[in-house]
Amino acid sequence: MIDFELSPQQKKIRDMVRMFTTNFIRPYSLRADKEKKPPQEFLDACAQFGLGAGAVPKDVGGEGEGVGEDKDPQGESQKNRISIIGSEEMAWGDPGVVLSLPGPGLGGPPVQFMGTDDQKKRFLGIFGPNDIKWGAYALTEPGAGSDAAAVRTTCRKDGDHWVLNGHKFFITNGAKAEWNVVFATVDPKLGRAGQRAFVVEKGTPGFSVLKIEEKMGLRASETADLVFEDCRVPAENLLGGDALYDGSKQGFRGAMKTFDATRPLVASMAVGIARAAFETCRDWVKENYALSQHTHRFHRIADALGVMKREIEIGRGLCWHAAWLLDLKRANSKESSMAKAYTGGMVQRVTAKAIEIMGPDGTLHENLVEKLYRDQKVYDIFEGTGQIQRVVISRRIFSQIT
Amino acid sequence: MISFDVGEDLEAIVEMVKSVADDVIRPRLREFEDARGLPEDVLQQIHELGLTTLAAPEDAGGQGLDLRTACVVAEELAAGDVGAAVAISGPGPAGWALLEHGTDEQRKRLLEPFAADDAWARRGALALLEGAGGFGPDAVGTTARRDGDGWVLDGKKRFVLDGDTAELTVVVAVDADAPLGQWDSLRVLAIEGRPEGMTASEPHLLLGLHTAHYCDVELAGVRVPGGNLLEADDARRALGRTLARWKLENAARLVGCMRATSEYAFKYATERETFGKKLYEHQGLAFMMADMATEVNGARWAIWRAAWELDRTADGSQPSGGEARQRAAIAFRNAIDTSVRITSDGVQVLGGHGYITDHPSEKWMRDARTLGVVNGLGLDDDRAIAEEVLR
Repeated sequence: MIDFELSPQQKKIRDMVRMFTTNFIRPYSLRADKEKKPPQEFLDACAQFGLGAGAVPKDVGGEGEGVGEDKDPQGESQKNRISIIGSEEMAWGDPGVVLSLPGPGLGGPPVQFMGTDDQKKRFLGIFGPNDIKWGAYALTEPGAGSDAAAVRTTCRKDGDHWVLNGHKFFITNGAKAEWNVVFATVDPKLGRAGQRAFVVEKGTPGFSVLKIEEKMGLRASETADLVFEDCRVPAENLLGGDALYDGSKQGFRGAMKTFDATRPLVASMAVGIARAAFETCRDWVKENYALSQHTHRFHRIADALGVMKREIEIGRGLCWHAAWLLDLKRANSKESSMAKAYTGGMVQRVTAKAIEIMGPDGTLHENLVEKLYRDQKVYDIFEGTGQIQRVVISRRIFSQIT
Repeated sequence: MISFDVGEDLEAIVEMVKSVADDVIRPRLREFEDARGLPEDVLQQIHELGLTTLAAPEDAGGQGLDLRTACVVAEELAAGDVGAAVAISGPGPAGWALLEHGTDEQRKRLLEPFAADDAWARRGALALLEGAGGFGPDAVGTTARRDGDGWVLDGKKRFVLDGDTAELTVVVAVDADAPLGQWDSLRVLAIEGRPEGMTASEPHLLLGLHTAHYCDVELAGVRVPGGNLLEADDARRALGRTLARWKLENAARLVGCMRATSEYAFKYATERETFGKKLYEHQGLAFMMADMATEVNGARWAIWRAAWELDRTADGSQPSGGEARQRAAIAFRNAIDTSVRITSDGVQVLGGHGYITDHPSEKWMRDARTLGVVNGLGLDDDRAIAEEVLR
C-alpha cells in the first residue's frame, strides 16, 4: 500500500547522517570552498565513524555496515531508498564535500553491475570502513560528455594486457582515487558495441594526472583531467572479463545501468541543496522580517517561500519513486531521468530565489546561499545534462507507444 | 516504509475504474458536456460499482476506504474525462465533512441513504464559499441562529457543486451569538432534502466543467434540526482536514486530466508527420512532452504523500493537523499550476487541431483551469505553506 513512513533503519541512517553532516560538514562548508579541498575534520570523522565503506556490500568484502543489503519489512532491498535519503542529508551539509566522501563513489556501481566476483572482491574489498580512500568513474572526455557513445579513448589487447590511449575529463576524485573505472573503445566505428570498461589502478604505467580543474562551485571536490599514454592495464582488470562483451553492447549498457542508480542519487543531492538554501533563507526571513510581517513585501516573500517548499517536495517525491522502483528491481531509467531533470531545474530556481529574497545579503561570500548557487549549477549538467534526461524520457515514452 | 505500490485490492478497483473511464466516459465526453450532466445509464453504472460511496463508513453502507484510495480512483476516472469525474453522484464533499465532523449516529443516518440501490442520482454538497473566494473564519457571513431545539440559517453561498439538486447540503455558517472571525464561532450544519427557504440558481455557465453543476445557494430562514449540528472538538483542525480531503480529491482529478491530455498528445505525436518526421521526432516537442510526463508524476506523488499523511492521522493522533494541511496545500497548489501549464501544452502539441472541438484537448484546457479555481481554494495555499514553515 502507498506509504511514506521511513523504515526504522531508514530513520536511523537519516538521523545518523544528519548528526554527522551537522557536526562535521556544515561547520566547515565555507572554509572547504575557499581551501578547495575536503576539510580534514570531515575526513577524520569519516575514518572515526567508519563511513569509508558505507556503500560496499558485505558479500563482496565490504566491512562497513553493509546498510544496503538489509531488507525492508516487506522483504525487499531498501538500499537505494536508504542511499538517497542519506545523500539528500549529505548534500544539505555541503554539496562539494559530499562528493569527497571516501569510498568507491560512482565507480562502485559499474564494478558491482559488471564485475566478476573476483573483481568485486579485489576492487571493492579494499575499502575498509576506517580507510580514507576513493574510487572514481571516468567516462567523460573532452569530446564526449553526455554523448557517452562518442568515447574516443582507445583500448587494444596486447598479450595479457590492454593498452589504453586517451584523455578523460571532469573526473571527480580521479587524481586521488585508488582506481578509476575507465571506459574505452576497441574501435570508435563500432559505437557502443566497441566499448570496454576497465579498472585502472593508481600508479599504472602510462596513467597520469594532467591537471585539477578550477570551477565555479563544488570547489571542495577534486575534478581531474586524466591522461592515458600507452597505459598498460592487466587483462584481469577488464570489468566482467571478455565474455561480457561478446557481440553485445554490454560496455555501454554497463555505463547506462550505472545511471539508473546514480541519477536518483544525484537528484536527491539537488533536493538537499535546495533544502539547505530554503532553510537558510527561511531563517534569515524570520530574523529580518520579525517586525514587518504585515508589509506587502513580506507577503510576497511568504508566497515565494511557499513555492520553493512545494518544488522541493515534488523533487523529493520523484527521487523516492525512482529509488523505490530500483529497490524492487523494476525498470526505472525514465523515472531516474525524470528525477534528475526536474531537480536540476528546481535547485536552480530555489537557490536563485533564496538569493533574491535575501537581497544583496544573499550574494555575500559569507552567506551559504551564495555558495550553494554556484554549487548547484552542475547538478543540471553532470550525470547527464537536463537535456539528455529529456532525451531519455521522451525515448522511453515513445518506445512504449510506437 | 516508502512504497508507491497501490496494493492488490486497489489495483483491482483501478482496473474496473479504468474500463469505465476508457469505454464508457471517454467516447461520450462531448455528449455529456452538451447535456450538462451525466446520463442515467452512466450514473447507474458508477453507483453500482460502488464508486459513489467509496469513503463512506461501512456501517453507513459505504466501503470505508481511505483517502489514498479515493485519490487513486479520482485520478483514474478523470483520466477518462475530468468533467465526468466531477459530475458523478454520491455524497461528495459533504461526505468528507461528515468524516471529520459529527457523531457516528449522524454519519450513519446522513450517509446511509446514498448507499441504497436506487440512490444512483443522490448527491451531497458542501456550501462553503462566499464572496470572491478563499476560506477562513473571516470569510463566512452566513449566520446560524439558535431557535429552540434547532437552528435557522440565513445567507448566500456561491459556487456550490450540485447546489441545485443535493439532498444533503453541509453548510458552514457563523454562530449569530458568537464573536466574528474565530474558528470556534463557526457552525457546520447538515441540511436534508430541499427545505423551505432554500433556493438555488441555475447552474453557472463556466469556462469549463460544463458537465458539473456549480450553483449559488440562497438560505432564507432555513430551519435545521438540532440533531444536524455537526460538531468537532477542534473546529480549525476538522475544517482544515475536510478541505484538505476535498482539495486532494480535486488535485487527483487534475492529475487525471493532465494524464489524459498528455497521453492524447503523445499518441498524436506518433501519428502526425511534419517536415518528413513524426512530431515526436522533433526535439523541441519531445522535450516539452518529457516535461509533461515528469510533472504528471511529480504531482501525483505529492498527492499520495499528502493523502497518506491525512490517512495516518485520521484517528486524531496528530492534534494540530498542521502537517496534513500543509501537505494538502502543497499537492493542491502544485496540481493547479501544473495542470494549467500541461493542458495548455496538450493543445500546443496538436497545434491548430488542438484548438478545435474535434479533439478533447481544448476541453481539458478549459476544465483544468476551472477546476483549479472554482472551489475558491488554492489561491492562499502558498501563503499557508509559508506560514507553516515560518512558524
